Amino acid sequence: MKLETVTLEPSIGSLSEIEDINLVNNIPHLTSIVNQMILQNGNTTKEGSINGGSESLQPITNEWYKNIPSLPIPRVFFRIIYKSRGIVIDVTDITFTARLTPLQGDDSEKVAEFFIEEIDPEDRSLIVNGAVFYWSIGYLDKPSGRIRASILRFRRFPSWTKHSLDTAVRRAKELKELLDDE
Amino acid sequence: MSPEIQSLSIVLRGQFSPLIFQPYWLVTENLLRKKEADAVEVEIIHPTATVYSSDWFQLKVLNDRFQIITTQPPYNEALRDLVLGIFSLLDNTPLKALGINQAFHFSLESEEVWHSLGHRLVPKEDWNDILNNPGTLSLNVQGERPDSYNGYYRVKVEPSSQVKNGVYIEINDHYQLSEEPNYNTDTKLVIEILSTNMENSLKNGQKIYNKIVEIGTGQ
Repeated sequence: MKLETVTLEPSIGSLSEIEDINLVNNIPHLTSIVNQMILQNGNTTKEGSINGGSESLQPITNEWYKNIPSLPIPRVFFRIIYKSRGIVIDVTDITFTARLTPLQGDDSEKVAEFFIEEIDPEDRSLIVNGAVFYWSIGYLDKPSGRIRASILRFRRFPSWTKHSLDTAVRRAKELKELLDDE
Repeated sequence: MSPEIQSLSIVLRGQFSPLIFQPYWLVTENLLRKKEADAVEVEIIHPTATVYSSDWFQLKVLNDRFQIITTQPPYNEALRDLVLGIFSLLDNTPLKALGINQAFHFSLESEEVWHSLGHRLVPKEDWNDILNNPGTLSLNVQGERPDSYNGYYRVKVEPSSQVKNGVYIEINDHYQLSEEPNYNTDTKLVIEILSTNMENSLKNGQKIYNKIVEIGTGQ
């Protein structure tokens, strides 16, 4: 399989560009979708859920904190033209290189180099060999017009606690004993 | 045809303590950036309900329901990872059911085409004998799961309340985690489903959406 190497310039649309846009406007998105579900859900059981199903929302109840207020329709929407899953394979002081597996758009795997300064400062500690991220390129549609943008987000895992490490070590020993007995 | 609005939500039914799910707990556990937690808009944090929104997700936790939703497709995987992270930590949460739900609003070219979709999905010939000017208000169809998990697929189609000449499609990919009235007190199954089946769920949802659009537009 031939891999294409791509070097990305910051001008392609960095995460900081996205964050400069007030994405708090997205909150109306969520509530409008949510309210459609509230309005359209019908019969309920005593528990307030729909026949025990996992449908998104309970119908409106008398308890005010369970109601989500109605807000206008969304003003900002991201249309993806390309999406991939990346795995970091090399890191330098200025850039990192990743193998990209397409999830939407182009079919071919690629190797791409990114500038570390494109990554949110709080995510830079996540840039290590083997780290996974998701990268979307597309159009951000706003009332003021369409802009080309990209969103790159690293996968986050819970911190290992001493308890979880101890549990993992104990479990590994148990499995080893089991395998040794066989 | 791209939807005008779309969303992905992950819903769990079980037993939850809403107070745990505060934004700074997610930061402490390395699941959320600190500045994201600083910027959340909190509706309530209370022993019976926690509801807040960041710029890419909304979280709502009640004593018997956990729900997280995003309307930004680039964050679909981040949403899944956040749920995976949370329930890796809360690994003894009693659970009954999981739903991976997608919703779409899309617009048709005219009111005439919009009506014809409703007629195609629910033919009106028999209804004309018993109702005056019948119209399709809501259609629910359920199908079996294509895999070995317990549960079902449920699709709802309705006129959209958000988009002109619009259609709303809701797809509920439902997994039954335990037999009523019992709970499954181990989150391994949820973690397995979200880790291995989420991509299939999104693809199936897209397939259903495309089919209904095709019915509506003839394309």
